[in-house]
Amino acid sequence: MRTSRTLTSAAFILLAWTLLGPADLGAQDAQDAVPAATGPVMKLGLGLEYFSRTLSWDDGLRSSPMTAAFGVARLEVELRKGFTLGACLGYGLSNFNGLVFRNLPFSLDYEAGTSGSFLAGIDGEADPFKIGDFEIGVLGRYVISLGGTKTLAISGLNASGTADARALWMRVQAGPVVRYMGYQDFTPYLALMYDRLWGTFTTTETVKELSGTEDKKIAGEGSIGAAFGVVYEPLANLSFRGEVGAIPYKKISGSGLGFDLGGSLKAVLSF
Amino acid sequence: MSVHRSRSRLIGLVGLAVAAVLLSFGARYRSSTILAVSFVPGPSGPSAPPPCVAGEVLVKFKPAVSVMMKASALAAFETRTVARIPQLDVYIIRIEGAATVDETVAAFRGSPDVEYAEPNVICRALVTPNDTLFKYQYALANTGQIIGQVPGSPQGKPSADIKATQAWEETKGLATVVIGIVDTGVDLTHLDLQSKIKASGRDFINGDLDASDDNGHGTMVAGIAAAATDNNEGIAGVAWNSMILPVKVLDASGNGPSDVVAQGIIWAADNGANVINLSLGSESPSLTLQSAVKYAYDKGVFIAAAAGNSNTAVDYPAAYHPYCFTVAATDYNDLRASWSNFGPEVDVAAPGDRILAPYPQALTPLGFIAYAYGSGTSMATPHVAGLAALLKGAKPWLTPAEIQAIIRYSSDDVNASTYAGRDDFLGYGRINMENALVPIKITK
Repeated sequence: MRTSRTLTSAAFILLAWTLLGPADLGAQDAQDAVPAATGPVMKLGLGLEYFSRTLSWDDGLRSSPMTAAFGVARLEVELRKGFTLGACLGYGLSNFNGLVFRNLPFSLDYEAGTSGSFLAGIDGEADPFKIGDFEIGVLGRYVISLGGTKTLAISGLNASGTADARALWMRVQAGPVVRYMGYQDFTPYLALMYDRLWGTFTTTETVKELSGTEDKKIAGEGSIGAAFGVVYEPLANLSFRGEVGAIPYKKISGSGLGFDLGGSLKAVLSF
Repeated sequence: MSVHRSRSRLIGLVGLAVAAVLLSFGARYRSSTILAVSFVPGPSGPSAPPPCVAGEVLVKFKPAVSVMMKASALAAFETRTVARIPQLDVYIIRIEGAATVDETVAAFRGSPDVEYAEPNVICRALVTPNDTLFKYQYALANTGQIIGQVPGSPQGKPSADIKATQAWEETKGLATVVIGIVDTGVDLTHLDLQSKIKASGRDFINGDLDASDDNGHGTMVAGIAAAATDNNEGIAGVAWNSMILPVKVLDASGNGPSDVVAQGIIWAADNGANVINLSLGSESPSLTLQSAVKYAYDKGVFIAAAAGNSNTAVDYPAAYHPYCFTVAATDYNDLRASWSNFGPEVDVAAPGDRILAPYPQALTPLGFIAYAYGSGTSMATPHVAGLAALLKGAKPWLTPAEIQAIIRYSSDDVNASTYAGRDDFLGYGRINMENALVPIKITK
């Protein structure tokens, strides 16, 4: 846990330093530094995102898969060329099948499939260095997903019972990105990301006079991932971005590495 | 035979005037007032090899072997392919000739084209203990087996059991959870119990610290609840890992005054018992006894108590609600035992007819092993005590009232066709360890 916090802090510091500091430095130190834009550019976008993540819980003793798919509306402000801040709001589905709650009167195995949740996030991107056809920058992103309460019947008992389930999770991604600017309309890029997901899945059980609540701390396995993406700009004020990523993690069973995958598609219109 | 009753004394509830009392190998049923037992002989011969599918072997050929060569080999060994597991490239082979499985396996193994050959071994459900008499314990896992070894013994109905093997996948209990057996004592040196005895206990009949059993009833109760399990010996206990605290409050004839029983309950509660089994009772109320069970309950002890065996109202102290959790008896067909007491106090039922359990070695006739069949709500109750011990081990924060509710609501309403819902005969139904312990899948 302490290591995770340290890594998170380091990632934010790196991101903040890169976003706020090195623009001028780059202009002074690098001949090919990106020139500042004349004014901010507003961009609106729509996006779809999907990812799978292996969660560990019960102090890392157990794991289960999580999948999530979201549709988001984005607002981006390009403060100057190569320096963008953004925010997004969205709604989607998360699936936490496989979580087991043993700290309730009746232990429960959550297999109820997807549940809806709202998502909000902020992100930033800066490309302060340019070397030949390559731009080197950083990007960072924070999202929070607030799940709605899902009430499920507990069956198999001779008394009626319900379970109210609700998930809250957050995700931080930050890391360097390298773009190849040698093509006219396409910009492929490769990013190495610190990627941390954590949260709480709360289940409240009620079976007649029996009741109990369990807050299960969940955390994504693995913390370093890689992403490959392409930005396609068919028009000066329209761009599309596609990205796929993978996060390796060590399986709890000890039998080698597993990979969690994700991908996103975005369409952005500039004004 | 009828159970002796006394308004001033409590008696063990085992031993019934029911035809289910078994005799085996000519042993005479001892028509004493309390105990009704018969003995099963020890397991015969060395352990058999693991069962396999008759007439079938599994064969994997070496990668370079062609299809024609495989077909040639199969024909040469008088076999044919039934199926193939493509992911493993393993052939399931049916023996057509007169050769046995072992002979065919040996023949295939001798072929240079074969990577390996083996019998098609039948896997068994996990967490089936290796206790040699487990196959007779229909209460824990009813496969439709014959209940007893005497000709004419009845056959159980498959699944008319408390789902113990399924529950053991989830938990086998903790050694820190102690079941107080307040009864006639326990055979402290019995092979199936000695490793499970927390202490030599307390003998309130003879006034010492050696709660040895001179009757047999308490030993049987202790074994059902928590016999040493998966130890290649005797029976399996419901609570594999829980410990037994013996407390002797009934004498050699199975009787004990209520003040002595009350002291035993209090002593057990004060000396670490998380669960107390009371396979004893009287038709007469006793405020002293009521105070004792309240004392234990208030200290966080779950008390399982036998309803009684006279097909009448529930005995005391089982009738003292909410302190005692009242247990009626079912049989190997999930039917109510005809002698099981009834009333609004009945919480649940558990198998109590023809239950195999350890029996004191000192009381076992020559030529028999130290195990016996017994019937009664006395035999049903320790199944519930064992389940309560497993629950307490898995969820130590549970109060006695919560454990009671979990056991009630997880039970199978096996007499629903006659009495849907809770009724006065089987309460909420026959206990179901799987429902109580294994995580319940919640789906849309």
